Amino acid sequence: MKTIQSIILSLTVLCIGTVWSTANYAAGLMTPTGSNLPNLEIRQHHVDVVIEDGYAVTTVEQVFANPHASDLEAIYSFPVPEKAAVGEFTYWIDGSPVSGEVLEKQQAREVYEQEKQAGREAALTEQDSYKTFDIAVYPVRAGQDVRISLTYIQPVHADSSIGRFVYPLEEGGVDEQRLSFWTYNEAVEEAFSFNLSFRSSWPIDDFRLPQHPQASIQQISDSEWSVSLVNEVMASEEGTSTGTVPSVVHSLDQDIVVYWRQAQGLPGSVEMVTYKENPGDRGTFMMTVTPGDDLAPITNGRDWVFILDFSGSMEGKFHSLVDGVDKGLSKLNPNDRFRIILFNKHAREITQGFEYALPENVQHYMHALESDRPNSGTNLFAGLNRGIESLDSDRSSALILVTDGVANLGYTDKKDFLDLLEQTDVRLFTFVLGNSSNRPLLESMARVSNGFAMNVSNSDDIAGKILEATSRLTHEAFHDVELDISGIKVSDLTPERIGSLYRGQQLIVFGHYRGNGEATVNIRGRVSGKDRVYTSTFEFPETGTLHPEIERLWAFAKIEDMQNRLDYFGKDADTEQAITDVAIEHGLVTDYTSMIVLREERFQELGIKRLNRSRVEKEQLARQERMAQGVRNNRVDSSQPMYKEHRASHGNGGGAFDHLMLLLLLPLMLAHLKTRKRFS
Amino acid sequence: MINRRVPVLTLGIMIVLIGLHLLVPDKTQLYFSATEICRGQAWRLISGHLMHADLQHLLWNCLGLVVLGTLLEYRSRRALITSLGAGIIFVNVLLLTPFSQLDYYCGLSGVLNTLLLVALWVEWKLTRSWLIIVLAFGSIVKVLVETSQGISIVTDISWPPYAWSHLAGLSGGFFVIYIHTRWFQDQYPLTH
Repeated sequence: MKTIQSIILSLTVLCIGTVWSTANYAAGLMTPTGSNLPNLEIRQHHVDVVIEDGYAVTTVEQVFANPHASDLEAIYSFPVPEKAAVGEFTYWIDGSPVSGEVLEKQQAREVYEQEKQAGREAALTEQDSYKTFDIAVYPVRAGQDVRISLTYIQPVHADSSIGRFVYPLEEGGVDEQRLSFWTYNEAVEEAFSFNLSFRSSWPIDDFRLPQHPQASIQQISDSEWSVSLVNEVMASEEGTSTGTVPSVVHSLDQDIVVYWRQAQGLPGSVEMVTYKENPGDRGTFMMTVTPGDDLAPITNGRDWVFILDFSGSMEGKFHSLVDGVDKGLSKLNPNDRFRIILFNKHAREITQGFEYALPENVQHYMHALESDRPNSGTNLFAGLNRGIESLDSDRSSALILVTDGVANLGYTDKKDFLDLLEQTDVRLFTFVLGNSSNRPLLESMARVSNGFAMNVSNSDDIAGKILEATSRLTHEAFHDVELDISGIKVSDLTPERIGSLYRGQQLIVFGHYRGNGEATVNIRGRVSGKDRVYTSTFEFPETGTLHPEIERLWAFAKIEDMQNRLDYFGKDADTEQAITDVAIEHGLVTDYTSMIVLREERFQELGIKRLNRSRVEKEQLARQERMAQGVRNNRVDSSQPMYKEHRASHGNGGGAFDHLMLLLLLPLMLAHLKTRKRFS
Repeated sequence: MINRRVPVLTLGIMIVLIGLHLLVPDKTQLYFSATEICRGQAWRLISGHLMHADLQHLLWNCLGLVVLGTLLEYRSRRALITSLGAGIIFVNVLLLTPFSQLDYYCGLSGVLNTLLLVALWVEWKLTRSWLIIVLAFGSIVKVLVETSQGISIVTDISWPPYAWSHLAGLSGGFFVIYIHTRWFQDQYPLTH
């Protein structure tokens, strides 16, 4: 078991070290490289995050300025946040906010270009696959500025009692064509703020921003916390600082990662929030299952196959990677075995079959790794295939894939990867570096193999990620998990396939229901080949109007499922149309849909229905109502707990002398000084 | 005769604490880990107490060390060394038992509790002041409350609090006092 811990520990160190060494690109305004177009400025960038009831609502408001003599177009790009459903986009036209509508991607682009040609105000938010959200705004008038805001929602996990929220800003630097075409301006010239408000009925011990120690963290009450990062201009305006104003008050080049730690010893639980306007309507629910800590530690040994990205995008990072592998291998037991496979445009193994983890073997292969330089493209399939071929069916094995990039050579279709993994009984654990990796592909691969994918940001806390990975891999997993609900009519459950749950992982399920009343919820699965069932009975309410956002969250999860199906079974016009329809109905920006803002009268003239506007208004009202209320306890299994055990938490600890202890020491010190004086 | 020596040992330990925190890139190699120690990484028996989770953790423990270490070293460097040794042993014994169930532990605070109790005892022997009794009582109650509740009353560090190490440290203090009173009081007087 310690072997697994050691490997994961070192690899996590390696991953974070690797990401650290590559943070060269950022969110920002884009200008074509080498063009004569003058640069626009980001004057203000304000981020407001509200986390409560199991999901986060993030609003980003920006002001772009044009200090030049002619009208210009602003194009702002930022990394796609994890599982973020963008449903609200506002553009201030003539000083008034106008919210956007979702159209098919091509149609939205045509309307935007048409309005731009006519010199009328227009703004467009598009998604570029898993890589970026791109916002185009026209015009930014000469000598003037424009204000826009974007709101997205995403479910929030607290794995092993540690919650994590990431505001992604760093660009991974893996899309070379894009990076060579555009020049990024990530400087905020006037004001930057990041404010996070957190409300939870579960007691929270602490908050932490590992890369932003200057953040102000306040506990407002037993159930409310706030986190704030404010720049110099903002502070001096509020009279809290007299510091001089720098020319760039903030650079949008570092992810903001926020952790919170729940109190220890909290029970495993099921929480649920619902949305149902009228008793006869179809309701939507979001169920968050936090399992009890009942998975036993693993004691048998394994073979380890390291599949390491050796492509050009790893240049400059590879030495960190070698260090990490070295550390991992040096901690293996002599009876454990390893292989190392590198991939760029081809895959090659640098070991001669499985090698026992003896110090001389490790030293030999580390020298071999260090003598090479990464280069060329990324044939991920070749690397994975080579890794799978190398497995010994007589021994328990695991693949550890470390990559920062995108499969761009050889087989690149998601389906090919999923087919490959489905043919083999092996767990794949992927470490996804940075914001620009092909996260959907890597996550799907891990899910198909019943492994897991772990996202690692430059701003992550190294010890935290180590503990998270170690905790998962050193315990049995709950496989082939299925959820069934009886006693009430439930449909459209998503995710369609849950797969495996590792120690400390939460399960979040969305679905629709009709009627109301008591329902029995069973979660079934297998642990070490034996069936296991957890059961609880609780009420689905007749109505609930506090959480209209979960309709969008359901739609986003449904779209993910449909996209997975498309990737697996190949292009299918019906499924593509279904994605488009769901996205338009729920006002979501996807690969197939974009959000456009026009002058109010132009919506009418172009016959674009204001469906999203009423949804946005409903959500904004609900947010105000939630804020006005106290913190809600959404636990639904209190009367019949689904789990007997407490939820998992990380087994580490420390203690410190504190203000109170030092206060106690003060009289001791005085007494000591008094006796010194007396005796001297 | 009062010993007026500079608390070099205290200052030296403090420099080590700060140096380790600032200079060691991969701190996980030095945290206390019972399983790694069983596999031969014996240095963690000592280094775990010298590592800290974050700056705040380091700051508070350094302040505690400066006060207690200086005070104790002023009276007797031997008393300081004995207390450090006993504290480390008692906290280690706790952490090595299956009871602790920790993957990692770090921080000097467990050991500081040994120093605290010994320092209080030394000062009480000199002054016989009721204030010392109150302080000792307050310190013990604080640790007992934290241990029973599994919380830290005032501390706010990035790792979950582990108050049992403070209780182990206090036990080390009682052990030093008992051994000294029983066998070494005349041979090595701690007070002058």
